[in-house]
Amino acid sequence: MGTMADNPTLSWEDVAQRYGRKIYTFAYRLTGNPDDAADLVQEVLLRVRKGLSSYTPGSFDGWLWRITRNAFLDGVRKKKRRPTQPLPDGDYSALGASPSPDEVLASVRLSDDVQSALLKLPYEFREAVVLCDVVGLTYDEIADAADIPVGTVRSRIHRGRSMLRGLLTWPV
Amino acid sequence: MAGMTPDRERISMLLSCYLDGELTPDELSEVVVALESDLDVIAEFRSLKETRSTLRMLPVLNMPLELIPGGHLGEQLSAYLDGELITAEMPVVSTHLDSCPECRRELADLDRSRTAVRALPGVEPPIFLAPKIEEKKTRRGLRTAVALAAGAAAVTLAFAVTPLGDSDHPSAVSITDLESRHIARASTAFVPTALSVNAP
Repeated sequence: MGTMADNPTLSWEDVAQRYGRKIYTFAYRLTGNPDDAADLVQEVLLRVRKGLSSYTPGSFDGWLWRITRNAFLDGVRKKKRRPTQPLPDGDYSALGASPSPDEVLASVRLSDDVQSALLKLPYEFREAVVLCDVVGLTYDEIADAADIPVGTVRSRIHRGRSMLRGLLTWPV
Repeated sequence: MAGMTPDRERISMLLSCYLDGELTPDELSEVVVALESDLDVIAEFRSLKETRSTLRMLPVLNMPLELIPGGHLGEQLSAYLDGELITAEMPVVSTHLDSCPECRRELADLDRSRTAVRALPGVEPPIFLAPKIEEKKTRRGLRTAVALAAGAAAVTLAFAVTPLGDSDHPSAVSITDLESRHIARASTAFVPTALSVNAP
């Protein structure tokens, strides 16, 4: 993962372009709600804009995801809103080669199933799994972002995946 | 994980860390031994691996365009020109165009190219074909044949205007030149092919 030391001239617009989709995806996977995801992106970018001037070199991803997580939790506290049903993803631009219509359909169904299963996990497990498997952070980065020991990260990821394993049914 | 011994539970947790490459060398040896000797561990490992792969296949989503500073419209510009945007996209595209000189410039270029293609004249069939055409006028399908030939000729012309996006001199290529070039092409390979397709 990159650090600010890699690119000291990184502006908040760069952050938005480089990380915006991941922040949006992170929030959507946690809430299943596109409006909440859009709100979170705006809030995070605002905080990044304010915070960049006082940012001290270190793990940029840890810093960014700590901001993202805090903004997300603040938003949850403020809204106390129940997650809505997930919408079909419908966006496969990041997949590379064009999938066949059948593959797209199967993938949409799969995404919906996985999204529904994710929303059934307790928040701590869901967050750890999303940060690891969707955002792609290492255990150390997750520990840094969530301000918890690495041992707790290990346990949460494993318990989250184990619960998902039980919730998802695999074709025989 | 209910009913597992503490040791087995520990191995279970290490399996996830193993998949993520997050084990210490000692833990790695422990997991390898368990995977070589315990069928339950192997089954759990496979199942966890599948769950992890499924999660990692989830696509990164596109966020709404208005949230991306410096994000651009891309293919939505052509749809905008052709009036083919879906209703929900219109305000997003209009708002973005108001604030983005780069997209406005691209839109203007696309508009010029589109206008240049649409301004291409209909082309008369080559003179040497006139008697044959007269002869076939009463035959069924003639109208279709001429329309196809003219349409295909327009496509040929579109490719002949290079570059289309010459924004300073959109009409620098004379139409007469283009027609002459087209007639030269049409009299060799293009027209006979079209005729053979439509010949009775």
